[in-house]
Amino acid sequence: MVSALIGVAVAGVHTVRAANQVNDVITDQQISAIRTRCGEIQATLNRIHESDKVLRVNKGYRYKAVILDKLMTPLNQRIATNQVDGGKLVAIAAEYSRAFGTFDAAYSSYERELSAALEIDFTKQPTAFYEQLALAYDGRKEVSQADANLIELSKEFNTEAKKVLGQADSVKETK
Amino acid sequence: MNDEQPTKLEHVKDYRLVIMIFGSIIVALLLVAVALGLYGSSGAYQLDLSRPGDIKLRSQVEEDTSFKGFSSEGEIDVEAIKSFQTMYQEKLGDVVATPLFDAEVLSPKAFGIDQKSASRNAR
Repeated sequence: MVSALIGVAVAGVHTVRAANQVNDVITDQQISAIRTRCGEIQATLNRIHESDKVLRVNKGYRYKAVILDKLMTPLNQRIATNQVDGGKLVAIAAEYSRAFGTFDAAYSSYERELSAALEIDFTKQPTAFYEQLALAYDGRKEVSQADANLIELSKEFNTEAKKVLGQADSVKETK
Repeated sequence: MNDEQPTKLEHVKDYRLVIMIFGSIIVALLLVAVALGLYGSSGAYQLDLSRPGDIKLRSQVEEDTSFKGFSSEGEIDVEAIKSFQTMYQEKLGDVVATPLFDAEVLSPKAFGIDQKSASRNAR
């Protein structure tokens, strides 16, 4: 009885997976579209690949070298030496540092997927190209998410810094 | 009469200059292989714009080397607070103004190769 139930459950899982795979299968019309637009797709992907490299370098510089290393960290050090309570700022900076690591890793992985897609001969292997492009698309979604998270944390730090510095200033005035 | 055959060690000694040269080349090649491996696995090559093919990309890099940042030393007074807030607002503005990595530029739809667009174009 139990084995019959397990069998039904396993069959059900296989059916769902098969249905998902059917949705992912590339149609003949899509294969034809890839072959027809081969040159256009190649040019666009190359352009995205190049502009992403510059964007990643610029963003990396701003997120890490400017915001984290030249603003967040020195402020936290100064707050600590002045014995002001900046625990939350330290926590946000630590979270930001981790988020930058995630962004870096996500970009690295995405770039590898995109490079792999560019190496495939679209006309000979349209299905492989489509699958690889889907992987690059998923990778880029993760980069985009990590990117937005860093901006959010930068804003959060700004809000918290205003609060902490405002308090530090008012404490100083009352003394 | 001295008809003794040279021992293996003496034979090696005769060729020590050649062995040293080839040994050095092999060690150098191994070190280059390790360095290239690290260059690739660390992801440094993905951000390296110093290669000859990236000349036109280098001019698009926006690095402000004159920006010294906020000093970690000193008191927290009105001036310091104002200075930090001005710097942070400016740099946060730069961060927000930089375009995001828009995921949709890589969607099959953007290339016109999703099921809908492909079937529409096939008609």
